[in-house]
Amino acid sequence: MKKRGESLLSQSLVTWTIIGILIVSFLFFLNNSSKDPYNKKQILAKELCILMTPAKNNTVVTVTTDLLVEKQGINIVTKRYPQDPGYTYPCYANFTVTNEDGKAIIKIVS
Amino acid sequence: MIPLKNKKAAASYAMISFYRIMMIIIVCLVFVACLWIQYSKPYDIRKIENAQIARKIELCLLGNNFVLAQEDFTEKRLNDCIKTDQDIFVNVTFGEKSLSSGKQELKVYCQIQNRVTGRYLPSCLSYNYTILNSNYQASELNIFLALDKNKKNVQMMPNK
Repeated sequence: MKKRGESLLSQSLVTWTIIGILIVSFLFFLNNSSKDPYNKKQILAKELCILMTPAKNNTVVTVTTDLLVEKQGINIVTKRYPQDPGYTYPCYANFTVTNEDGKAIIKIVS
Repeated sequence: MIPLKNKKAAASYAMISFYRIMMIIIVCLVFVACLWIQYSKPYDIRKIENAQIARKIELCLLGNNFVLAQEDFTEKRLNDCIKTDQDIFVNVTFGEKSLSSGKQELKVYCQIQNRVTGRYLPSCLSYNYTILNSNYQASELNIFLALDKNKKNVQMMPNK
C-alpha cells in the first residue's frame, strides 16, 4: 500500500473507532433507560406509600419484587442491593418492614 | 495523518479532524442530556397522597364511631392521627373549632396559588365530610391539606 493510502486508512480507523465507541456507549445508555431501572425504585416507594397511608391497623402488605424495601424513620426506602443508597420517600404511615425469603412484609401498626 | 509538507496545511488538517470529533461528541452528549432530563422527572403523587391522608385523618378522628364529639376533637387527637413535619400542613375544622398542625408557611403558599404560578408550590386540597356530632346532627368536617415534598415529586434530581 502506498504511504498516502496507509495514512488515510489509519486516520479513518481512528475516527471510526472513536465514533464506534460513542455509538456503543449511547446505545448502552438507551438500553438502560428503556428498561427504566432508575424509576423502578421511585415507583415502588410511592406505590407502597399510597397503599399504606389509608390502610387500617394490622394490615399486612407482602411485596415480591427484585428490589429491597426498608424503613428509615418515617421514610420508606427501596434499594436494588443492600449497599445501594436507594430511593427514599417520606410517608405518613406507621408501619414496620421485615424481609423474609426475598419478600418484604410490611405491617401497618398504630 | 497524511504527511503534508506544508506545515500550515498540516496544522489546519489536524484542527479540522479535532473539530469533527468534537462535533460528534457534542451531538451524542446532547442526546444523552435530553434522555437524562426526560427520565429524571419524578412522578407527582401529591394529589393522591393528599386524598389518602385526608381520608386517614377522618377515619382516625371518628375512631370506630359514626359520631365525633367536640370534646374528642382535640389537638392531641389530631397529632395522634398524623405526625406532621416540614412537608405538610393540616387544618381541620369541625363546627366552630379549628385545629392546625405542621408547617404554617405552606398555608400562605396555598393562598397565593391563585395569583402566582410556579412548579414548586405545594399541593393544596380541601375535603369536606359530613359526620354526626354528639347531638346526632349532621355537621361538616373540613380537612385542608398542604403537601410540599417538592424534592421528591417535582424537582428534577437524581433518583435518591
